[in-house]
Amino acid sequence: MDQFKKPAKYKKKNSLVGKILECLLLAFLFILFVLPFYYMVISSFKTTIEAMATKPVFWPSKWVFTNFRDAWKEANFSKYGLNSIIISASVVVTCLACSVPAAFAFGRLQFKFKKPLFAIILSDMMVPVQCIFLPLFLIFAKLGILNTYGSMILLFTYSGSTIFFIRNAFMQVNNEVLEAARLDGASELTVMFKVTFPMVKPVVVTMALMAFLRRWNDYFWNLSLTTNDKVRTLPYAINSLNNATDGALPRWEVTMAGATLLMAPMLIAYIFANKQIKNAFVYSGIK
Amino acid sequence: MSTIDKNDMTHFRKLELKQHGPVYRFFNNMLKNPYVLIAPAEIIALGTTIFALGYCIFMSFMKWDMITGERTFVGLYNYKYIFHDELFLTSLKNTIVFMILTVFVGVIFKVLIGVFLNKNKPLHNLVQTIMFTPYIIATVAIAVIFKYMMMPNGGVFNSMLAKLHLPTSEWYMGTKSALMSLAFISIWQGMGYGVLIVISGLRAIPNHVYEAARLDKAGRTKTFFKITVPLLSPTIFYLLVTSSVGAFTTFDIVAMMTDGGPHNATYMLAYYVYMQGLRFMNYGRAMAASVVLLVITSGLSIINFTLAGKKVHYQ
Amino acid sequence: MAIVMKDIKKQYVGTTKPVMEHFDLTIEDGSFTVLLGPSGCGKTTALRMIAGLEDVTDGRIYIDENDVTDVDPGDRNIAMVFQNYAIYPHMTVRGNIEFGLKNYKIEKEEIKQRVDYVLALTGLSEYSERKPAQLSGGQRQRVALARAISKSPKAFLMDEPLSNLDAKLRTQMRSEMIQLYNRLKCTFIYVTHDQTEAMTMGTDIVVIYKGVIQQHGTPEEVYKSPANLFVAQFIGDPGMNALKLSSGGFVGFKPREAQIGAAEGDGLKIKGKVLTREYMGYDYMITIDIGCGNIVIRNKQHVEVDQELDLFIPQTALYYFDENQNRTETVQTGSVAEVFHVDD
Repeated sequence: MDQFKKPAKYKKKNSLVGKILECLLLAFLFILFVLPFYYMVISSFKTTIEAMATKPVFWPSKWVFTNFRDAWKEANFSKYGLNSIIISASVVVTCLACSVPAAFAFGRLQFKFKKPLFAIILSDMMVPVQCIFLPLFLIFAKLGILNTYGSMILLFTYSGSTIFFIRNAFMQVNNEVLEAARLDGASELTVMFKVTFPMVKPVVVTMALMAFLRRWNDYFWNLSLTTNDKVRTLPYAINSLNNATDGALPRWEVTMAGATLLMAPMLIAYIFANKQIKNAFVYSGIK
Repeated sequence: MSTIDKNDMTHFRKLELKQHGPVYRFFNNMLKNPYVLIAPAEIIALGTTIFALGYCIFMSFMKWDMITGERTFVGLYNYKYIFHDELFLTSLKNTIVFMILTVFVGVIFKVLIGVFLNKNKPLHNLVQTIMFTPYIIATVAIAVIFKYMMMPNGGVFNSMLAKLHLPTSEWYMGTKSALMSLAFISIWQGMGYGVLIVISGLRAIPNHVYEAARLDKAGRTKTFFKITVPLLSPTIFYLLVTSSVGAFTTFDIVAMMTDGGPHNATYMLAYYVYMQGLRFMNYGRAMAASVVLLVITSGLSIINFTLAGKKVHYQ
Repeated sequence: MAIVMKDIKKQYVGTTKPVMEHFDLTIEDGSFTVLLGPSGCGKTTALRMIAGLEDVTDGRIYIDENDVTDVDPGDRNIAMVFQNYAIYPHMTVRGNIEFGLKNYKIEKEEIKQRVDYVLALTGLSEYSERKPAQLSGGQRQRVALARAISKSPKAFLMDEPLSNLDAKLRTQMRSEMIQLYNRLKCTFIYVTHDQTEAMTMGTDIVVIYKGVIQQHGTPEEVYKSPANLFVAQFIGDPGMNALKLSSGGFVGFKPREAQIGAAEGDGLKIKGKVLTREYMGYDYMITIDIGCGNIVIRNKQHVEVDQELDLFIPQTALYYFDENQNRTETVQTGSVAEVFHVDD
């Protein structure tokens, strides 16, 4: 092997310095993105004094669990939390009930005016919410449905992107399979739910998850389509927790406890299903 | 065929074909009818988006007397008004600055970190997974935690800066630093998503291109600028457009953290529309401002769609 | 008792030219009828109209004297095997076969009997609980067959079912298909562009070109006495060589009928130069430039590229076609104008 010389400018693939730099950078990113969450959770166990200390406390000397109870009470979790759950869960149901048949039609059937009708479906992806919240507020007021669950659910029932992505999934389904089912004597209902639907299920589940997520995290519509607290949800309550101090100093440990409670369901869902959730976003991002 | 006993299919009766009743036929035909299937979505889309948008554009030309409820056509009055409104111009300027900060700084970091993390090694994947978390967490939670950490006195950020003997900042409470602080939080929250999109764009680049580059003795820097960036350009472009639309419609973080302050330093377009509309009840002005917003964002979206259509050709 | 397509016209929505017009076809009960033709000739469209997956623009379709033109595909009592198998990816092998039977509301006990029977028949018994993703291409093909058989249909429609299999498996499945046909004694309608499949499996071959039936007959008939120049050139490996004559008619001969070397007697004599020589195992396929085009012959004799050859085709091996390219017994005369290919 001696006759084969190494090239003069032979570079080692991974030098030690490079490795160290890589690790440092990873550590930096890790801290940058974990620290805020860590600090939020840890602060929700602090005493008021430690929470307000000028020297930040990263490990409480005394663990206070009552902050969660206070947050629950002050942010009225039993009311806003219930609102959040009722509305988010309903939205998942209505959103799918509205999106799946429409997506099936746009993905699998041919009909007149398909293009303009589909353009209407996609319109919400083009129009910023700031252009429609005020007209909607006025319309809903006129209809007398402000501050109702129905109006809050209605708004998230239709989502252009959801229909768009389920439609794409339907378009991927091999037409021969559907024809085989019809030859097997299946009714259209059977074709849709027993044959086609299982093949697009991963996408539909993902979209359901995103419908829930959108509604659970929403703050804007909470604020702009209501005039009282009746149907407002958790994000609104948590934000008020931070503001409703009446001149008193904010109790950060309670706010942090409330925020921790708010994000807990999403965080837990993400820990268990992070691959799926990330895929959902990649999927809906790339057109 | 495999050998089995000779009892042939003949012992199975032929299937009897059922005659379907009228109810079955009705529903079966309903489900074959595309217009029935799309009706709910179309109706809500028309009502909540198209009609609302039309109403918005229409109302931007009207003056609405709040006391009498009378509406009069005033032409471009509302537009003239807002373009002479100091606050509107300030918020427009703030929005543009905010956009430049989040879009350019944000996208550069998203691409660099995306390329760095695209190694499919456990640690890299873990960091990438963690980075994505803020994106799915309610903005409210993110707003309160940063409010807490960015407190000028006793906040984590300032005490860490002090420890490193670096100058401290007023963060979101300072006139000069407030907009920067919001931009930082916004980039932080969207970083994971951007990195994810960049990585999926990188994965779509065929490996043989890189192998060819290696055989051509291209170094890392050269590979990045001559191969990765050009082939990633559709993804980068997508990020540029979506994040600029996002920047123009930023509302939550402003309402939660600063209420447009201090001294209107973080007053942005979306917040202006909201305040004019629901706080000050200046419907005409609010809608005129939102039409301006619409023109800007749909301009960006149209660029996106036309260029996204083009990109298909060269792939 | 047959499947009849009567005066069918088919024109797809949004196109200006019909795929077929005045299309008449009678498929005898119990036959293995192969619809053969190049891609785009309308053979698949014809099959799909029989299945009811495609509407007819005009004309009627009868199955066993019942007009089924407006009957749903599920109610025509036929089974179809698709090119891509079209098995339900989310169901097990058993589930795939049961699905149709359940739609017909058959009692559980009978479903089980039928499924077990077809699983055994197709050699899939041990795979009954597997999902399609865990099966090989050949096994998926068998699932599609088993699913079709389980319905004990009046007719089996098959749309190029073997085209996605590799060559070896294709040969094997071909022979299994013949055995299946012999056992079931049921009508098979089989669409393919592969003449080997058509010749080996079919009892009847329907050659279709540009939406028109060119010939309907047994494999021997279409091979030995093609009705026109298209059939003559489409069938065979390779198809017939045709020479256009100055009179407008054509003279043709099969590649294997050409003898190398000068000969005496009645027949066609041609001179040419060898262009290529391909070794086929039993013999050679030789492409020869005869001045007005290239012809292809099959011969066991070893020739060299660029070698000048004398070819002789005896009178009895010649086929004649009139100026409309239809077969004729009348001897066509004239000087050779060019080598002719229908596809051009």
